[in-house]
Amino acid sequence: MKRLIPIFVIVVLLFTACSKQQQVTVEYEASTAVSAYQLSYQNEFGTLVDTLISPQSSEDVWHHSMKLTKGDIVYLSGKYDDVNSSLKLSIKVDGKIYKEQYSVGDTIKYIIVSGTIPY
Amino acid sequence: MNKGSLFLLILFVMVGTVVAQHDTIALKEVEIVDFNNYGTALPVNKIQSVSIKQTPSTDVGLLLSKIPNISGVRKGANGFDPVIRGFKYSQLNVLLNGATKIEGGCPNRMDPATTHVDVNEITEMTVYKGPYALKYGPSFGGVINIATWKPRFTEPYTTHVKGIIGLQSNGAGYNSNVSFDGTGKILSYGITAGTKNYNNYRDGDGRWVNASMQQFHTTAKAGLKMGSNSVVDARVDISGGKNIDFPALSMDERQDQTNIYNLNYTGTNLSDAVNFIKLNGWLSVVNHEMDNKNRPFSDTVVAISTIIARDAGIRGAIKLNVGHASLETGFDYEHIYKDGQRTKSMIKQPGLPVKKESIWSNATVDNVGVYAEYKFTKNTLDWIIAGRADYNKAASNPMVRLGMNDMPFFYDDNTGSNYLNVSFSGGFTWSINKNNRFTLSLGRGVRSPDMTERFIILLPVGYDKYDYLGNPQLKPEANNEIDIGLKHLSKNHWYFDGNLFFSYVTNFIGSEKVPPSIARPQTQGVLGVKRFTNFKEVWLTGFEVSLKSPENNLWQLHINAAYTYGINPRAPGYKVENGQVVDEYIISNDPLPEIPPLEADLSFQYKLFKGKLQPQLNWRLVAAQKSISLSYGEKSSKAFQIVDVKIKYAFSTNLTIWGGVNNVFNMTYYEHLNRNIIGSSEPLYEPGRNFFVNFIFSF
Repeated sequence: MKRLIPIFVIVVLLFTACSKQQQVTVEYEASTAVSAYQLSYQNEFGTLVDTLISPQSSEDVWHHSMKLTKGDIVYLSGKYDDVNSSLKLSIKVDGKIYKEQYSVGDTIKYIIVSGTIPY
Repeated sequence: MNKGSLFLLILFVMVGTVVAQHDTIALKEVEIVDFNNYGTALPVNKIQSVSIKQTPSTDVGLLLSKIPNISGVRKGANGFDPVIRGFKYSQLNVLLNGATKIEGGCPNRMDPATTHVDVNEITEMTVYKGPYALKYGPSFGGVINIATWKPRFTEPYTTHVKGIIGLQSNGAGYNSNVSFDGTGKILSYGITAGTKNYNNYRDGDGRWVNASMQQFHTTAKAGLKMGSNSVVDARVDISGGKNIDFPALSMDERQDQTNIYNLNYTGTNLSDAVNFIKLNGWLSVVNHEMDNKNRPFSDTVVAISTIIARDAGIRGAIKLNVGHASLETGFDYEHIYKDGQRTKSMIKQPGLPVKKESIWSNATVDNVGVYAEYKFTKNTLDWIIAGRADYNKAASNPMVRLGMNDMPFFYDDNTGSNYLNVSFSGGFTWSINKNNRFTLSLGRGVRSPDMTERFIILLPVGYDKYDYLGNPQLKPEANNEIDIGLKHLSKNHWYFDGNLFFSYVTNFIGSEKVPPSIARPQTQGVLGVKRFTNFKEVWLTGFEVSLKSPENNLWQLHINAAYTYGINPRAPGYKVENGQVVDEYIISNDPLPEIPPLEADLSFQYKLFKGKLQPQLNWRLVAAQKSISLSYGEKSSKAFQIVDVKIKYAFSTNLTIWGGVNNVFNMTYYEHLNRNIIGSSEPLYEPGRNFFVNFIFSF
């Protein structure tokens, strides 16, 4: 029976020591705009970043990728002043679309995609 | 657990395994049955560690509910909040090893003090019902004393490894714990580590209930013998929780880190007159974080609350032998500090505005008390008389809640209060003859309002759908109680124990709706704001009976029944239409809320092969609860019956296995005290059928 001591101890320690990594890859994307637009997004440090994007064509895609932890807040908002433009904002978590919004010719409302990364 | 403590533990275990001396035998834990409390008038119940390890339960509150007339409020995966004879929360004094206090962080009591103690560490739990056990601090409705490791000394040096691995099927997960102890002539030490990890469970109808949780616990302790009669010991507990689901609350626990530090001195038999001197010091620090990220409302506002709660104190006691009597006297001091805020991120608004608001604002409560307890015997009467006086002082920064324009719409800077409370109790056990004892206890226990009742700022912390507002000017409430008991040991050793109680509570702390001009609700879906207030009087009454077969039988039968009934003679009532309070009135003789219904249980076990194999059956019958509080909008609950079976197999002196099935017939049921799932009228159902096995080893 004494020989079982280390086995029991090792089994319990294995149970005790296990912990799961909960990191995910988050990608913010903005596309379809034909003229300048403003973006605000929360980055991996929890800071709200404001930036002005001037696309060359509707094919241009703005992109920001980062590592976050499950439960973290993701936030991306945009606004444009050109009634002939449009804007599609999306947030992907581990390559899959988590939130997406699309607006055409609406220069009044902010487009906001946000949430918390699901556990 | 952090890497440092894991490394330390592995090192200890490896050293211990190598140097273990097995020329002395570690005695197995045994359940001591003392025919319940002969010699004391106070209603006392005990649970030994042997019983604790027979079940898949890893929640201290849930284990306590095995005692008649103890139930609990369930809000989620953990934190089953004990209710003794209808008394709950701060009406109960929960302490560790006779002194240490822990103040939970969550205003909604996700983490009552009992959750910060690892169940695998417990050697014994003692429950003193009523306001009688005054030496442990202000006692109002009862005292729960949780005993853990105590230093012991042996010659020669010995080492022991103990542990448990528990597995269960419904809420699939495990509970593991290992401890290493060394005992020598002057040094005693131990180190423990454990973890629990459970997933969601299914109720009897197969519906999933969010109840996942992760917890860890590590402990290091050491005792030093100084001379033949004095021991100094120190202890550090580090524990935590992560991602614990509370489907009945507006938030889940995201993480919790609790550190408890203890330093104790015990001197025993110091002279003919001095039986013992004890000094205890403690500091418990709880860092609690919770959020609403798994609630639908988090699509609009993500709310994260962080709270720090500290409890520090000292206690000193001396017990003197006075002829055939004994006198224990002492003092205690407790300081509680709480601070916390809720951060709201409006994630659907441009610019991601963030609003911060206080839950508590540097709130403190200080309590200093002195007590004396005198025990003596006269003829056939064993007397116990106790008294204590407490000076209680509380303070906080002003209670403020700002509106969207950053202007305060609620402000109260009259937050200071102090009280002098006097409590006393007395009782006797009359040994009528060899087989019969009669007990009588009378007591008055006074407790000051707690942190939540004094300082909470607009949070839905009650049973009902209201935001609650603390009231710093609340008066202390007093429980005036009488207990009458009868114990009978028959000639063939059947044991009967019966107890009746009646409590008359004055200045009862309840709550009453306030008009919007005082405070407006801040939580979606609530009916308004209630403020804690004193009611002139309420009363509670009830009984407990138990019958036990002779201990030396091969078979054992144990039957319990218990009931409590409570009334508020003049309770405020509210007429609600379309989610609005449209009228207020007075309800005469309204039942108190959250009182468990009549309950009985029967357990039968049989010892086979000299106790090596021991099957056991438990049958629990719970009546419907129709005595419900209209004032709190309480709902009635249905009757149910549950059958559990389990079997013990003592594989060897080193390994015992307990396995079984809880809720054998997969009944769909909920306890009356279970809260509803948040945002619905659906109750939080209990788990359906659950298979479990516990491997308990000791070397």
